[in-house]
Amino acid sequence: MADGVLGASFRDPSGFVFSRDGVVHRQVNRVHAAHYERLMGSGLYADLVARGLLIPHAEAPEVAPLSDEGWRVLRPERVEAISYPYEWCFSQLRDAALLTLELERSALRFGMTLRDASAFNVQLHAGRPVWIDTLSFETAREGAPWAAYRQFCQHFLAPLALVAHRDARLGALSRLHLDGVPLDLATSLLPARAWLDPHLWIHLRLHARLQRRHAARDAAPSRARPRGARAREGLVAALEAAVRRLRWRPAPSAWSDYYAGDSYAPEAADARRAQVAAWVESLRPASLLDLGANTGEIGRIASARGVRTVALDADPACIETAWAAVRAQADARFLPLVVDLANPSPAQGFAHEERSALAERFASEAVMALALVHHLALGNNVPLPRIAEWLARLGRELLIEFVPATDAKARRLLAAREHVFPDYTRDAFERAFARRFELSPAIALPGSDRVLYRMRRR
Amino acid sequence: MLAYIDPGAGSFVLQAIVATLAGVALAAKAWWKKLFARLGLRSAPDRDERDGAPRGDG
Repeated sequence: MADGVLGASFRDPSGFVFSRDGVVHRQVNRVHAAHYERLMGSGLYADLVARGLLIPHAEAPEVAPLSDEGWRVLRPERVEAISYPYEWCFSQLRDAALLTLELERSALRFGMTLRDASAFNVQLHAGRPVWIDTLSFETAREGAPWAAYRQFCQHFLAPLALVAHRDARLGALSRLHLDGVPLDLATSLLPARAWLDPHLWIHLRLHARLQRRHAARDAAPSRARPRGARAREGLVAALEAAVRRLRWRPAPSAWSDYYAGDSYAPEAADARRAQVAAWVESLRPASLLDLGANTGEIGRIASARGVRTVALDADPACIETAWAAVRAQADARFLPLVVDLANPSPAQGFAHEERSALAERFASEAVMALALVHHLALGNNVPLPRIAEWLARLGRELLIEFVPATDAKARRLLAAREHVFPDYTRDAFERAFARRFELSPAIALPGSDRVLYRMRRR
Repeated sequence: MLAYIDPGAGSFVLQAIVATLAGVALAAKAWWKKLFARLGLRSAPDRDERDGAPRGDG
């Protein structure tokens, strides 16, 4: 990480995040001083940190503010793997939404409120969602509406409703719309049955209609205020009810029952697990990137051995299962994410600097690519040398599986296509990877045509 | 009311109505609970689903 202000940190006048000597710091500007003092002094900070809802920080008086308006510098606890909402499965986004509402509810009890409700303020850290923007809390003004209501609906409620009621692939809309899915767009995409849920009808459809009606007016409606002592609390309760009603039950996908199905003879599956365990134990890497992770069953062999593991798969149903396991087992070292490796998350946002590319965030000491190469090579026509080059960028150590074209799963990819890959052979695979890596001898999996290799980048 | 993000004029109008009604609903719920407690009837436990999502319980 280069020193200086981080690319995503420029919108909020209250302060910004910067890096010094590779450590992330947060500057609090003078304009936000009173709010920060209240957060710390009221007991809200202690309450949220004790419950694991807000990232803890230390004040860093030895670090000078980066600019004149600076007042104090904080050093937040390090979040090892930064992920974005468009890489989360339904339940990860739902958990983040519920966290956001719980923060607002707690803040109100201490006379404060969230100034924003951006899903980018949440990180999946140590197996659970946590709020990372310490400057999001400000003193609540009597009778004022929640400024972040619209943002909450766009960042959380709209994408959740789209996945629950329309199609899981619409989760990727957040990648296009960095300030959340526009409510009129969500409204036009949702099926009629979504409007049977009165919460969605109000917060999305009616909301979109009122936005359109008021868009043409110059002044904000000054008299539109929630009335009553419990109105703000009521709004949080209403939004929570809206989120809790949303469920997504994925239909079993082709890949989510990969390990339960016919792919592997039991002895091959056992041998593969044993090879992964032996490889992880011999290397003891600090971090591991599991590509094509499926439901994370294999990747958790590494996290169970203390290795911080990021697991990527294109299938939201697989990641849904993996996240359920993380929550159930409180696995703090395993982070499953929805990523299509044929089109991984790019650098984007203003000046390409707000959200960084996948390779920048998740390059790891070790990379595992099991049952992946045939998807890229046969399913996406990526030449083997290009695959080797890309994997070499992601990590130094590599455990990779070669799936021959005769394999049942590979045949399925080729079922309706002419075989345009005469070079997809074990020899060609070894030659392509030998240019970038030193290869171990092939490790056979009993009862299977597939082979594993341990590789080290040259 | 000034915010650094755009809160949206239409969003304010909608929120004013929704929050007011939801606040009344909350107050009414609390009132019923109190009434039941006073009559010696046990109030039903909260319907909150504890489904593993963060509720600040750990």
